[in-house]
Amino acid sequence: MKNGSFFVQREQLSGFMKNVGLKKCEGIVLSWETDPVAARRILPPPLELIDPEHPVVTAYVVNIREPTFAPWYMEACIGLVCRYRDIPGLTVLSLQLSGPGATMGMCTGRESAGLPKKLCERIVVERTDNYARAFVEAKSRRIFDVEVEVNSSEIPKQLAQAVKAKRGEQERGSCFLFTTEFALGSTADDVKFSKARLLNYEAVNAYELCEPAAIKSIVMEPSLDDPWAELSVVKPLMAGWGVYDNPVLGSSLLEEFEGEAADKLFPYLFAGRFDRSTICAGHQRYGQF
Amino acid sequence: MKNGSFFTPREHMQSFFNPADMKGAEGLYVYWETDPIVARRVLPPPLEPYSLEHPLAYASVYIVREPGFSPWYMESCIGLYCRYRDIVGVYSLNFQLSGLNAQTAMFTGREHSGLPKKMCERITVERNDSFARAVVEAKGLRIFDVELEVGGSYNDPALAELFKGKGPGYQERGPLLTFQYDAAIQPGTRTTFPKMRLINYDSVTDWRSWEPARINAIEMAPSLDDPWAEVSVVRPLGAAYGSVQSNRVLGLSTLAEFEGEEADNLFSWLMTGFWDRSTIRPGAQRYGQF
Repeated sequence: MKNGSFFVQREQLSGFMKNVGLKKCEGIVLSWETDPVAARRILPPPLELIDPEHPVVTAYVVNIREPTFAPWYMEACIGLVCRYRDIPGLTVLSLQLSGPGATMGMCTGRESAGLPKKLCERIVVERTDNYARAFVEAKSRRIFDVEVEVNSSEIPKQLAQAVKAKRGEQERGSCFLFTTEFALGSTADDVKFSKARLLNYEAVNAYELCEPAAIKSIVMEPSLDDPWAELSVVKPLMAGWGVYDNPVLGSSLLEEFEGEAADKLFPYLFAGRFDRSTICAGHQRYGQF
Repeated sequence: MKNGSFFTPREHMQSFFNPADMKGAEGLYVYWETDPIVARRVLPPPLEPYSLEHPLAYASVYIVREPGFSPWYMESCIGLYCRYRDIVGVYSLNFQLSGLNAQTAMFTGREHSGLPKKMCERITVERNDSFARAVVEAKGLRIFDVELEVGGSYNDPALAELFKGKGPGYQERGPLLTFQYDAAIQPGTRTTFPKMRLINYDSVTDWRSWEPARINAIEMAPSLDDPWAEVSVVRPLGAAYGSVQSNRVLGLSTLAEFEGEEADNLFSWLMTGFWDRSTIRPGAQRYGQF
């Protein structure tokens, strides 16, 4: 059996996280209009909603079949459509991952890009003919469960055409992400953010296949640690079944925060990155996982 | 059913990671002399093996029953005794954690403290009378499997001197030497590390019990991503079955800072503990039932 080493020659490292991309993603992408009060509460400043009265949530649940940095894994994401000054984009609130490549997907995403990723027990995406379903189970709760009808006759023709037209297209988009630093020191002190950076993480969705779908149901079970249910469905908008590549173009710095200004962001970034066990004394979980 | 929120009021977070205490740990603590060539190869500069000719390696496999920051989890680690200038401490080459509860310990250990932690499929600690065993399985390979006879003496009586006084109520304070890094992502090139910091992770352990044990067998399956087998057993020294009342982190302080080429060169030593080889070569894949 071949063994590695805790020392890796420098020349072998030249490909480390180079030309990062998520290849051959397959699954459900969807959006809905959510409660404006909830959207305003959870959107970290200085980001702003594009339409404050009709905020839009985007979610996806996919199999990332060929990540460039890990074996395959399942990923589910929920975020709010927003803007930074005149740049439109998405703020990612929570990503849940499962499967063999999930640990590397989580570590590299959190540490390099500031993506709010956690591991969960189970993510399932399935499709049979025009029926497709996806669900996410985290800490024994089904925090997301969606059913869609692919190529449904209910979808307005113009909208269906627009979704189909994505096939072969390269759609470039921005995600607004925060990387943070904690202050070093004694653990007797309160832990505080000493620095935060708002990044424009740019990626492309290159669709090999994109089929329009009608949302039949979305059910989100409440959860203290992974509160996807907070983004309640006011009006289902659109869904699609897609197969696509998602190459990452890179991240650029939009704004830096220091001291108090950085620490003020912690309430917005906490739930996506940490569980409540980190802030309460009584916590335990037993059972079979 | 109660729901949380993606906004958490700041006053709810006063006790974030306070206490950072791995309370109620229980398991196996194992010591052996390893190959000096290996020890020199895997120990990042400016750290040096505690003994150049007879480097001391350790591994521990335990449950953390009541961590201050998460539900219980299983953890294991492998490392070397080393020195930085006149500070004697331990350097952890790799930690493996298991169970869904383990993720908070994994990512906060990595992100806040520079601990090279990964998740694995299965960690088992068992004891029946004087027989104790621990197993670590990562990516389909049994990277560590140890059997002990508890309650007798160490394999090498010299270990009794090193661990003199360890037992119920014994308090031990010692530095864990870790590296924190800043990563830089640039399109078209690999991720680089323009800054690194050598950290003194200062912690104190209150032992509830420490029973000396004899190592009867250690087996480590070779692994590309988690090569515990590299830290080969030249001579088993001894072990213990121990339990911990409290293992508190007192604080983190910077011992040395590295920049530019000097910082990036340290990546060769940190890569395997933190990441898998899938991150340096496209085309990695793993199928099966997990």
